[in-house]
Amino acid sequence: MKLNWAVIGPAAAAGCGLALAGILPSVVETFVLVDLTAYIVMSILALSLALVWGYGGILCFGQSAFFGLGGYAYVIGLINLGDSTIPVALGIVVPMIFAALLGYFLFYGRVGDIYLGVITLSVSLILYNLINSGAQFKIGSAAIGGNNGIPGVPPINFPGVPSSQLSYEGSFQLSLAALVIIYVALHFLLASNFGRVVVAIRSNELRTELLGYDARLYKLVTFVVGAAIAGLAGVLFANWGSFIGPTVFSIFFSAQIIIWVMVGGLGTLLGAVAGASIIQAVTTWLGSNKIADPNIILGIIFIVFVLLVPKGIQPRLADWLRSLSAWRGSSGKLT
Amino acid sequence: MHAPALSDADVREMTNGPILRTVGLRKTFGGVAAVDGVDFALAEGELRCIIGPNGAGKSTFFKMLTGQLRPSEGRILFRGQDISRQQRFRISQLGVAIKTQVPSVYDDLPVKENVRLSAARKQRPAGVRETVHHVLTRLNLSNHADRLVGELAHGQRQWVELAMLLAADPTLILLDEPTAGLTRNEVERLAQLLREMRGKQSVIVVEHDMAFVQMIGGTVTVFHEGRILVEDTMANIRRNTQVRNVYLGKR
Repeated sequence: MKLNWAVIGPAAAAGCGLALAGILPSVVETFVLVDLTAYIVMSILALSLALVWGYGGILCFGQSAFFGLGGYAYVIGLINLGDSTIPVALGIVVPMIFAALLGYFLFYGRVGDIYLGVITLSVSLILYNLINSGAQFKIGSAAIGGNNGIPGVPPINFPGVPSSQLSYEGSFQLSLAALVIIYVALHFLLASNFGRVVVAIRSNELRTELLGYDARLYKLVTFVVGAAIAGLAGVLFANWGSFIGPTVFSIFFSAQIIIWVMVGGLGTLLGAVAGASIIQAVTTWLGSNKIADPNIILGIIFIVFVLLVPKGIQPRLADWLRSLSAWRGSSGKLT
Repeated sequence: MHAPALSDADVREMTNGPILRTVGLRKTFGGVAAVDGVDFALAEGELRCIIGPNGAGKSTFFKMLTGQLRPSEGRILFRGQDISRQQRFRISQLGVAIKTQVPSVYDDLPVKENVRLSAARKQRPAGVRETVHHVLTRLNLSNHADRLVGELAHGQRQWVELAMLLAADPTLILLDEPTAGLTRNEVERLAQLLREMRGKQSVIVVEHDMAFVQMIGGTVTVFHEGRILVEDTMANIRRNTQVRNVYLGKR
């Protein structure tokens, strides 16, 4: 019987998400939930690059720029307004506007792939330097704090009710809900005609334009949607740690996202989530047990994957499953 | 500013003049003129072949017609509208489809999806399914519908690209060396297909295969060193000493 993966995938994801959100908070310790929340936030960030790079073929080295902009826009808005409702929207809209402007010049100027990588990385580093050296900057009542970042960020509150703030459990459930919704939404976006044209452009941009599709527009929209998702991840990240600092714009942070997506598998969604979660878990564990420097391990993981598993975890697992069932099928015929 | 008044000839051209016309079309690459002043006209529903030795400017001419290259000088009029400075996707939207010299297809996507992407540009989903089915059947590709295009032989990939063109239902079709990699039978099938299109769609074919050009008939344009050398029937062109000298490299 042929299963309909287009429906089963998102349905299973939503079901697992709901079950986890309901059961986990009453089963595990709070600190485990806090750790899991971090993995979930990083998974959302990984999904944003999985869309832009994995499906759109746009190698954006500065995805963390949108993540950081989202985080900062949210925190600055929250300190000024005291109610998180509008700041959450700001954390999504500000990176979108920024991406629309940057993307307009990148795509309508027909900038080549390599230059696009260099420019996006530079933009991220410029933001890093700007915030890092801006100890004296103030936006409204929010002090940017330069190198120290902005500590003591209050939690997200129920829309319109600043006194009703999210607990650790609530933050976990909200982040997980966001992850599931974004995963399912991306799934349907990629199955739509828009998503299939985006994949076609990655495959052969010339042919796609000769068929009458404006590749510049499709890439720009993909870029802006990716920025919105990264911005939301930034909001949830600032909420998770009650803190936002300039390191979110650093080269380390940008590189990390690329490694998650690559390890998980380019052109997959679930792979990006797995890549981000596994690598975050491994580096956190190594770091807290002082076994090895997490950066060196991250570098080794990257090199091993580039050389040995270039397709990434998810496509590799799918290959193994396929050959396993083929082997079973053939041995079944023999006996 | 006043727009110049339209003459009778202008009006005639806009209504039932040639579907495609180029005026003094030139393209230079660093001082070398690949196309050097081409005045070309194609009637509605006409099937035209362009022949000429390598480097005669045929592919450059096609690239300008489809917006892949900007002309250095001159104009391209498609149904009276100047398209010489248009983006390539805009020209495609006007109804010009091209099969490039090296097949430009989606190697990592199934045959069906290649054709679907073309049909879906201007059709609703229900119509798309029907168009894809119809085109795949017409070009004998139904058996390969689910295979990745990258797995197919060169000749089959030519058919896939042709299927993509037909699925878009264009008014002007440009084919750059469509017989490359085709078997003798396939060449005959392609000639048959093109003959069927005559009168319904306008087609320009760039070809080296003289037997094929003879097979589809009609007017033949000979390019040489970026210019049009002669325009005539294939039978007359075979007798033309100037053309023979060009192909044999004499001056």
